[in-house]
Amino acid sequence: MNTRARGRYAPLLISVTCLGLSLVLALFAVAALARNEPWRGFVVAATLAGVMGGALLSVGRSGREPSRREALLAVLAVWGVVPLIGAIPFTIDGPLGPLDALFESASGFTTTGATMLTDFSVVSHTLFLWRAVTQWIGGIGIIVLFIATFPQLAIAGRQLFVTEAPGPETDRFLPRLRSTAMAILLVYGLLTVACAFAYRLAGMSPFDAVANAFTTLSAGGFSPAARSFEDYGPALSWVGAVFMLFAGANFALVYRAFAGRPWALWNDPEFRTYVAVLAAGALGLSALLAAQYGWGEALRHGVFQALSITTSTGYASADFAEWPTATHGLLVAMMLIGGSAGSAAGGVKVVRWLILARVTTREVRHIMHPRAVLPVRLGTRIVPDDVIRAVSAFITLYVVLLVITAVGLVLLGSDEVTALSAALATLGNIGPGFAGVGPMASYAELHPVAKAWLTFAMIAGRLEVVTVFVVFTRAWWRRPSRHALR
Amino acid sequence: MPRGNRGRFAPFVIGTGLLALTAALLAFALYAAIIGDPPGPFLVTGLLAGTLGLPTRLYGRSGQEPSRREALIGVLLLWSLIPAVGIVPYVLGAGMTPLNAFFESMSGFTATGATAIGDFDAVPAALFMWRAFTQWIGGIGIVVVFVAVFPQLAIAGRQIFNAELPGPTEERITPRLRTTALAVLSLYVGLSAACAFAYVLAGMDPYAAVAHAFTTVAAAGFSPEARSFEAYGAAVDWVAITFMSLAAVNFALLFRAFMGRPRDLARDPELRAYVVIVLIAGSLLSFHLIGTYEGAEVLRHSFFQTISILTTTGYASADFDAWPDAARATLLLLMFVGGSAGSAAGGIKVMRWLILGAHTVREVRRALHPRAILPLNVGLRTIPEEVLRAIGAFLMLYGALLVGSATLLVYLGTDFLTAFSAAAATVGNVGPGLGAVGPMGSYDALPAAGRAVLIFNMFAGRLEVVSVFVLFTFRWWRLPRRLERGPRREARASRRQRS
Repeated sequence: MNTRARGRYAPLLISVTCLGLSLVLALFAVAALARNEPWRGFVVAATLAGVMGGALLSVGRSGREPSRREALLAVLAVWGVVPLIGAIPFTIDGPLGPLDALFESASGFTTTGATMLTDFSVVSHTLFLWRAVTQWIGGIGIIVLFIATFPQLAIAGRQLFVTEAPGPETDRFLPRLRSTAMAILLVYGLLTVACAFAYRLAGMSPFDAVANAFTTLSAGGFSPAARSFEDYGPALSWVGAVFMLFAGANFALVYRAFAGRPWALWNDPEFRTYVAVLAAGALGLSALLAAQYGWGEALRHGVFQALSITTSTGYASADFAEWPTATHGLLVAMMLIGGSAGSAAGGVKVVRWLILARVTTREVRHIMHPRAVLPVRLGTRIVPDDVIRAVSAFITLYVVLLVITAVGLVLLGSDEVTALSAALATLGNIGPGFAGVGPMASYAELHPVAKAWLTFAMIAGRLEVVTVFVVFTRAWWRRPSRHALR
Repeated sequence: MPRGNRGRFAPFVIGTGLLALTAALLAFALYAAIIGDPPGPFLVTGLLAGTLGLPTRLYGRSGQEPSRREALIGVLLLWSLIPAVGIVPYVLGAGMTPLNAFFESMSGFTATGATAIGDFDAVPAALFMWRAFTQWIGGIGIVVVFVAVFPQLAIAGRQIFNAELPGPTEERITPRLRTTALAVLSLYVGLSAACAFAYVLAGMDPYAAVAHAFTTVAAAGFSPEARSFEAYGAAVDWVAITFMSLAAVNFALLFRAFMGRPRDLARDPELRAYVVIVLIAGSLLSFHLIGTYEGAEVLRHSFFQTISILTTTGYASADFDAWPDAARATLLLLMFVGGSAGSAAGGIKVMRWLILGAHTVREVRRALHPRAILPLNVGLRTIPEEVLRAIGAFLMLYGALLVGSATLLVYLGTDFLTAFSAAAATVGNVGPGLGAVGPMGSYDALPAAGRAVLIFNMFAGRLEVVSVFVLFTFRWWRLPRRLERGPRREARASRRQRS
């Protein structure tokens, strides 16, 4: 049994995911039929997912604890296959070509929110809802991964970020995955419902309320409205801001806060820094926009945009690409910072910057006292050296990939601002950038190679870069690893 | 005796520096009088430097080994006071505003090469020569600090960059400072003379040849020509390419090569990486410049500009700001690489990138084998973890300063590209950037507050950022007594022995 189960963990996970996806797609096919909208793509996708899921189900086994390699392979495979299937409805039922559809689908499942759609009027309601749902599914998927799986695999310093995952304490892989997933799904689901109701009460149409709720909690940012939040009015911006604040917080802590420890969030150093970053960003933006909008409006846009960019959601309450260049400096800084580690937000994440800042301070002190022993603290905990090393390597890889992507886009003919902001916005899973890829524009104008590259950047950014780069090491391609997880 | 010397090392260093400056200024006054320019500005500045320098030097003592704090204060003050004195000739001689003069002076002594002069015709020839000379002393100064002082202080990972230095490998700063300085100085002077001679042979007039030799060997980049090297022909460009490349090699390594161990050059991982980067970037540029230039011109401009930016010299053989976007992006990237660690080149330095690259690869491998013990190897050496940590902190501060100053410039109304490249070109001590601060432009186009920030960028970038940020830690400002318990106890012990 043991030897036969080896290498069968990834097929199992893909199979389960595909079957689930097939079910959702089938529902969408029915809905499209009922509404007399294009439905063939959903049927094709559902069938394909069903066949794949069924075929792999007989191969997959869950009996044995997976090795690190198997666990990583499963994660990579799921994030590679699912966007492929999800792209089918966009190209058959929608206006997009195959490559554009893949980009749109990857942008959905990675909760990025970068769009290829130029003409929103030719897209059916069902397809818009599907687009929103891809983000919602991607969001819960990545949160569970971040809170349950990556800490166990010690990816990019994550062993430290979530000390207590909700659910029963267990070190085993699958039971932990299951229990954490249930707990997170509960909070995530409840917040989504609350968000939809709040949008509805503040005056959104029922369809828009649901579609936007799906993409708010997942920090995704797809909106069925061509001009994002610009046309919805002031009240809705504030509602959106409140729920984005939650969407960018650590869900393990949000769960605990709901489960009777309301101070759990505030006692967390990452959450406090996150709020401080947001406050500074919002005030900075408002000050710069006051001349253009007057203080009241400027505050609304400042708060909304600071939240939308920092949490990597990517909604726009106004066309910020048209704002003064001075605001762009702030927005770029916020794009780099990102949200909290245990959320669907992208970017480098607040806690990593916090650790890096503390390490840097320590090293400056070391200059005066070279032999002093100075531990790096995060809250009450001491940050171990392996976490520091992993975090610094993560940031290096992230920045290197960012620069390579930006230069690559320039070489493929984009102007500098478009290239840099597109690289930032896809790698950080944010969505809109400036200039050619601004919030009211689309990625459709880019070179096809650039589109394919950015699709890769979205997935790499989503999976914490390091995970993807493991594939490029020699050790990965050696004979199956003998290093089991435990 | 040891007791009374406490705190007198920094005055000693600064006093010596100022007196040397006085001598140089008086020589320049003479030179100006000979070629028929007004000698007044140099005389006045010389007198000022002398009156400041003499009492400081008399107060200073070099007898005792300085504490870490004293050594740092000495270096930091040296690079702020001397540029401050250097303001005067620009104000008196060329009628520049004090801020612009400070910018120019700082850009000189930090071997940056960013200029705030708008009108090159208003500046007398003697002042241009002085400007080039400031870069030359700035260059030798920083090389000595890099190979003799910072390794001892373990700043930004420098303890391992020059494992085998010329001179005795003692732990103390002062003796080492002297022998190393002599070795490096002889090499530096030799290179400068050879460079000037080569320029003359390639067809430059002697005045320009000397002025350019000063700034080539210092990897600095000031040119008395408003159009930099665009004004000269192909032969001069190739001479410049040769000497810029040499100037950005680790001087300790170069010294050993000249002393009969040229094989060391081929074995050095940093030099190898440096050559590879030049080849890749040069080819990439050539690829994009086909069409802009013809035949051999393409290669000349590509490699000239690659080396000029990579070594942080900052000469321009053409207005590279007018090149295609892809070429400009490549150049912008090169600004971040920088030259070798033991040269006058600025930037992050190739060696740090090598170490960071090795570390990143190691961490990716750890994702698969978390408990594997993987040493960090660069070339034949194993890098200690504390060096890695110091480099991480250096990069973080470098990045923070870069992004912070660029954001501030954007906030002051500069466009993105100008702001970002200006910040990168000053922190990295490169010189010209892109956009309004391009090779044919001037930093005078930026807002005054922006120029002030960039002056700080040049200063901090030159002194490896970290050493400047020590000033911002709380501990720095505490009373020194508690920090130096060691030496005091020694002093007490020696007194007890004597009695």
